[in-house]
Amino acid sequence: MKTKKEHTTSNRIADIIRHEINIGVLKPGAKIIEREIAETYQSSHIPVREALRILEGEGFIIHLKYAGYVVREITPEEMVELYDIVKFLSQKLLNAAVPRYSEITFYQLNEITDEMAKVSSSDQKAILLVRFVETAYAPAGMKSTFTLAMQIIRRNIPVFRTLVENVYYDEKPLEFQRTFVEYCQKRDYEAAINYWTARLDALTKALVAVMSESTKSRKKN
Amino acid sequence: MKENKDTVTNKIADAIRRQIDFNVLEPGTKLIEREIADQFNASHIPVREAFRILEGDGYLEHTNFAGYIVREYSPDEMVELLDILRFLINSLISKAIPRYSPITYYQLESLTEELVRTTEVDQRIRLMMHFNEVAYAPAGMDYSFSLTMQIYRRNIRFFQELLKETYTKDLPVNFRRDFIVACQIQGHDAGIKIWMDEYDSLSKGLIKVLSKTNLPKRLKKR
Repeated sequence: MKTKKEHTTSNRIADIIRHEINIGVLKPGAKIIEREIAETYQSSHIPVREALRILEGEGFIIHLKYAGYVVREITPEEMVELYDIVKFLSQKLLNAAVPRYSEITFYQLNEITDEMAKVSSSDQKAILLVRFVETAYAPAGMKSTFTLAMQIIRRNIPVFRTLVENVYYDEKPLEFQRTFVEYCQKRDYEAAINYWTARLDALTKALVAVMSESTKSRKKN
Repeated sequence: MKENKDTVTNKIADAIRRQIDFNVLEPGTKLIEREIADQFNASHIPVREAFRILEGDGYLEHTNFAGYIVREYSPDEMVELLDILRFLINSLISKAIPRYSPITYYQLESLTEELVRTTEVDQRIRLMMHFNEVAYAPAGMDYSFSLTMQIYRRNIRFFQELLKETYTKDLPVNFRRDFIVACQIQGHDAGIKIWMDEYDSLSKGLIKVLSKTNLPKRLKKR
């Protein structure tokens, strides 16, 4: 849907800044100065501004009134809050969606999982994971719940990235997606939804632990 | 608590959002990129970006033939939203009440008194929304808070309908007075209960309004 990427200057700049945030060159709270970026990439300010908007939309940076754009830090408390909302929305969506899955849905879900096994960058994996979730929710046909859930998810891509990088792959790779699809194909809807919710619970707990750890170590430094 | 951004894109997005919130732009209205660019003296780039933001927030939808139009909510979608809103409000108010300070109570009381003196519908809605903001803010849950306010603002025209129809002059004032007293004297749980009961009766009223004939036809169709 919206994950289709165009190779424009703004996308290229966004990719580089995203990468710098991910590998820790740009740390939470670091200022991002439009003019400096424009100079570094020898481009006009228009694509830079667009790149910053893209990153803001994905939740990598935020705009503060006096400091301008800075790298966003998602606190463990915020994560818990987000989780509560997503859990509520996801149960509503899955209850309506799972019984409606068609062969095409299964095909799409499996295709995304297979693709995830192939790609190596955490960013790509995070985006594929978001696409998996989107494909799993969409058949619910609950337009406003779906829009809201996807708005929250798309604006917190860094969370998915941390998830993919630190938590998800301590587990058996891709087990979550495959098991969920298997339950659905067996038409054991209740088991599928319970499994999804339980995994979401466990993953979030692990994620909050990782976040608290990194917040602590940053404060020490 | 609202993030203040000064880019042209944000200015345009905010202006359009406000016009949709207050029903200046009605559901189904087509938005023309060039006209908006002229209006803000901007190039088409920030306008297009603003459209994309508003699409992501569910304010606009992109159609193949008409381009961007103001998204319509069907009654079914409204029922969905009311359910989500209930969840958000419950977590906000439960966490907020135990954190109320004397200043919070003072603000709540003065807003209630102002409401007593106000008769004009738009102004009353604004005051009630302000009251709710003050009531939720101490929760410190920025995300739930802004999501709740987004849903509220987005559906302000339904609240207006409701006010005209069922919500008589004293009702919102009495509810707010009861709420303040309950929180201070009877304890937090009593406050939460009053707040949620009010929400439930409001949403029942809203659903009734939705099923009536005096809504724009477009909204009833789907």
